[in-house]
Amino acid sequence: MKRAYSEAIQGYAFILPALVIFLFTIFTPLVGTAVLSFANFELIAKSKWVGLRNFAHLVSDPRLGVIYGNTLRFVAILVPLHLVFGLLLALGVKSLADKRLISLYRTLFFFPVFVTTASVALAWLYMFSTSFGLFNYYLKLLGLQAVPWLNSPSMVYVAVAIFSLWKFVGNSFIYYLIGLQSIPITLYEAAKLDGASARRQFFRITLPLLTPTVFFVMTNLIIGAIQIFDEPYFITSGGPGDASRPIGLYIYETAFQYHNLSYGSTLALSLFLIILVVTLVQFSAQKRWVVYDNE
Amino acid sequence: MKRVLVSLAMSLAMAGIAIAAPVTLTLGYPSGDSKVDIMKDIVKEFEKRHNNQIKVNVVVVPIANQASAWGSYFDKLQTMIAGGNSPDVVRIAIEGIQTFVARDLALPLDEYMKSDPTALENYGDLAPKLQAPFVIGGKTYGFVWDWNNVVIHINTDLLKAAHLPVPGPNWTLDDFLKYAKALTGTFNGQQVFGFAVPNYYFGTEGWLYANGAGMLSDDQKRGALDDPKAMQVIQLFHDLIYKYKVSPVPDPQADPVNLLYSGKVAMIAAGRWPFGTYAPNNFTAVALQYIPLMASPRKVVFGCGAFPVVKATAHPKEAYELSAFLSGSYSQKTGIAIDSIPCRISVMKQVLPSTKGQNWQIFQQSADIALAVQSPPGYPEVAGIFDRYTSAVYADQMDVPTAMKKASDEMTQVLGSQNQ
Repeated sequence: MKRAYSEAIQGYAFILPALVIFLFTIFTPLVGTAVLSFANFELIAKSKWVGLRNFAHLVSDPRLGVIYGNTLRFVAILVPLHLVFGLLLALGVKSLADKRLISLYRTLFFFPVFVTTASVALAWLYMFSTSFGLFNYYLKLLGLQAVPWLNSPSMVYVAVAIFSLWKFVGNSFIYYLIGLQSIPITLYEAAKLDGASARRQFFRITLPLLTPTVFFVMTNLIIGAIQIFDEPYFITSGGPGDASRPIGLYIYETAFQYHNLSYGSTLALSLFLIILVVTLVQFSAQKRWVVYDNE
Repeated sequence: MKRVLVSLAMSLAMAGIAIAAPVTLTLGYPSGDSKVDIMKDIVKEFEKRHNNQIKVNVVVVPIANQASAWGSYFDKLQTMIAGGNSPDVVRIAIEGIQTFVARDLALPLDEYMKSDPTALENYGDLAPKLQAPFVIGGKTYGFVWDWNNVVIHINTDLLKAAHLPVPGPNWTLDDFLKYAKALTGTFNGQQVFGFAVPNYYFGTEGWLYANGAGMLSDDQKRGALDDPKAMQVIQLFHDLIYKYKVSPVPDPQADPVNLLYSGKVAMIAAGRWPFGTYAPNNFTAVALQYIPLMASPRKVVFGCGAFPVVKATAHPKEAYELSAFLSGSYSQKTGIAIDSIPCRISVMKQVLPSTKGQNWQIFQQSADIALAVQSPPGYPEVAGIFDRYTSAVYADQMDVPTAMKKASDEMTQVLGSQNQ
């Protein structure tokens, strides 16, 4: 009994630093956000409690439906793209025999993740420009019509998808590569001896053993896509109109450009609840398809 | 007795130290403004003139480089004030002063102007029309430093290639269209557009004023983009892109100045700020002209900036002296050589002739007919509404009457909530 108690104390001592960081950097701001949602907050002047007024505004906000719809579109487009392309790149690199080449491609694919989004976005803006852009220049040379990359409500998603894939696919690629490298080579050797084809090996060994990584990557991608900010902020400015404005950009504009911190907090709270529900559903559903080593 | 003398001497010494200890002021300056480095030099001169008894720290407040960035600038200033690190003097443009005063952040300076008028050099030298936006409710909140208007910049190399003279000041909309059409095509193997539509609030308001309209009603309490004259201007911009095909589709965050000096566009609407880009690129092939005359009398939009004193300052007198010095001749001559127009009439006359562009005189002439850009409290949100709906129009995703009606209604709603 005494020993179990001592072990429990030790366990709590180990998680204490992480718990303190969590309390100060995540839990406290979250509580602050919830509190601000019930107030008309002013940094200098006296703030007022307004009860549920911000929530009533949230329900009646005519732009919110469009903005959450846009967010959903970003999730529907970007998550499968990053999931599939990240895996294809990782499989391609893993199949290389030369370790130097693996190292080279790993650096090459992950490099854009390191680069500041603001700086590369400028170059991409130039490439996407309808009248002066590089893409349309080549399309015209081929005798094709110029594409309004940033001026059409549908093409703007294609532009963001291209930029996002170039900039961030390195993230899912690197996780997949680590996941692939952790699969014991002996399993493949045994499968080869049994005459299993490459396709069979992929579906019977690689994919099942990679499911924890797929689950991790997918969870991160979904959360990241729901919170998407950099791409629309730098590339489309949320336009044309509200066509590519996601909830992250709307929260930023409301809170920090129009200095309505309280309504911004209410919006952030709604986003938090949505992410919480989506993540809980994912964790619940993963029991059906994720294969862990100990099973 | 000896002890008394020693105490007295120590007290005097401490008092002496207290008198001699310099006051340190903080000047808040938004990032993204090209004059941050020059400002550091200007405050050195201020310190010198005060025998280093007033020190000034220039603090750069990081903001996004957008029209609606004043909101984030104020939030950061308020955070600094709430955190006990309030700047004493801050750089604020016309778009922000109403919000700054409405939030009770600015100190009225009239009392200090009466007790220390010499700090202002010659107050009457500040062009009265330009100073007016910083006098709110009969109280003075700052002394204007720089200003800008919106005129047409024309690439004269392209003008020559199209065999066209520099247009006269009374050119009409028909003349403008003829120029835009003639300047659209392939010049020296490069696709050129006649005119870049000004898809930003200040530039559009210049055109709206030229047509006797405005973004907002005269009392700035409701949106006025659904006024037929305002819609006429937005429809014109739409038609320049899609009907006449003389303007490129505006890209988000596009830089028209770059398009003009690189010869991709022949005409743009801007103030004096492009000269800050022209100069380092040795671009001098530019002529200036008023926006085509669409309604009489001619009106030219202007925006200006000053250095108001923050109400929370612990050193109001010294902060007033700094605010006044920053609008003085030395500061204007040093800081506004190329890319803005000085607000002092005397300095304007000295600085403007160095402008490397034909018809530079219209910058000075327009000071007398200039009308302040409409910038009510809540300006960032109003500008955001403008950006949102015009971007949909210029992308050909919304018709002008529907978009402008919706924009006006939203602006009215925002202005109503600000006035409550």
